[in-house]
Amino acid sequence: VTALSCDDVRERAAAFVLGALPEDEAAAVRDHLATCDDAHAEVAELGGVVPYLAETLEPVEPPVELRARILAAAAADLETRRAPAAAVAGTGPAAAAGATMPGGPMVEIVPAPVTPPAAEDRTTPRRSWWPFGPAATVGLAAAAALAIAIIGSLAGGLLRPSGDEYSTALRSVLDAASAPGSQIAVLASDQPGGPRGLAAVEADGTVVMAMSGLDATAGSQVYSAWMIASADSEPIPIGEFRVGGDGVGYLPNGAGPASPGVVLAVTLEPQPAATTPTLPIVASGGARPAPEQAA
Amino acid sequence: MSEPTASLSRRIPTADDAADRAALARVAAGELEALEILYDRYRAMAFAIALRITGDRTAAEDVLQDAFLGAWRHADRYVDGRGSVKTWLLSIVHHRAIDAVRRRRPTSELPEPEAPGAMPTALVLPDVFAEVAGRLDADAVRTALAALPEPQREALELAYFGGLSQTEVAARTGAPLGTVKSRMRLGLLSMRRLLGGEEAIVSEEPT
Repeated sequence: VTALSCDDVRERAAAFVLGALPEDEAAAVRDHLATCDDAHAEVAELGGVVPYLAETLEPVEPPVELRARILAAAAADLETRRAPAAAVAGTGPAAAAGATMPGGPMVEIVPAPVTPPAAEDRTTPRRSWWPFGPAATVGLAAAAALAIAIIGSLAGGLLRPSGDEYSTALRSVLDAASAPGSQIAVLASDQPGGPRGLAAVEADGTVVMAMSGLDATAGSQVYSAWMIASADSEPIPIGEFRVGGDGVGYLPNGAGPASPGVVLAVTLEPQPAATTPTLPIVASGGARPAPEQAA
Repeated sequence: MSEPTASLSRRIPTADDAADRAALARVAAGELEALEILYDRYRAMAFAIALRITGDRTAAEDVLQDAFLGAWRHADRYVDGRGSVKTWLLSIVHHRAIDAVRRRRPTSELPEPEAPGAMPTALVLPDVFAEVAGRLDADAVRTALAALPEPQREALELAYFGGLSQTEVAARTGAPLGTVKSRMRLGLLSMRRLLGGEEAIVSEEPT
């Protein structure tokens, strides 16, 4: 389309504001308006009527799960925007892996830091062993919100179909989370781009956990999952798993007490069957009623 | 694009507009909560538009996701004074819905679909103009649309809700292109007058 004259623009103004011009012609109108000395008041005059056409419709409520789907997509978008910074700040294979797969499954790029401010402040001393306290509370609330968003994104099919092990594990977690009385926890580390995952605690205490971004286990090493009921109770081992080169961990059938609001954590143990956790915590998160119950 | 002239920016910002602009500023800063606020405020209007245009609930849901994600990413591009936040948001929804139906048609005038998230700028940043008559209740607007001469109303509806180009409107109605252009223009001008309490323009159409 060649450049338009002022008369050409006037002639196309109505179709332009209604969106009824072919895209190349609309672009030519925009180009003209952007540079023309004439204010082309007729375009604003006609265009200012268009918003009212939408007002003639009766509002229609979209499905409730669409809200979570959109928020999950926005949260993931936010992460991809922040990912380059995390890759620079972070060290180790987990941070690098996170930065190289912005298009990967939704959940992999939606970490929920337990203590967001500390995670960005590299000089902050390592936090104490158990993630209770004011900062953790804020983080856990955000994690619960993200868990709901993630559930929604899966329900809406936003998580792209994938045969990879993490996606398969996540589906198992979400199946468990959809059972009546289940709780769900988003696990995250305080390292940007660090290990993260999702766990469901069923009503009978069965725990299904999917983790990604973990370092591979070597020799007798094993990852141990822990459950703790409150700030002053001892962590209870609920299951163990090993991790290969893909950084994915899957605990299909952990077992522990199913009290409400428990916190889940993962540690790397030098030997299986640890009865007390070896610090530091690799990732942790608080369980909340799954969205079906919360809604 | 030049700024709308003062005489045409008669829209008086309301308290809602101020709250919406504050929310949009927070959206631009990456606050998910603010996106929730705007979504909850306009989701039913947005879904009504998307559903009317696409005629398909699944497609309408995708349109809403694309549109709100577009708003999320480009909130900083909203231009204060060129329409309310509501108009801006609903215009994005409208553009995405029109885009969706045009892609379904074999006579598509649009390029191939891009990867999700790589929206063409023109679709993310629709052409938005300040509302000419302030905030009106839906009944008043419906009355105005219903009061248009039938050919004008049909031309507006086929373009705005049908996603038809002016050429396609001409083909659909069997009217010459020049007549269709005239009906669109007169329809918008009549609508404007009716919204302001005047009468529609009933004009002999050129052939």
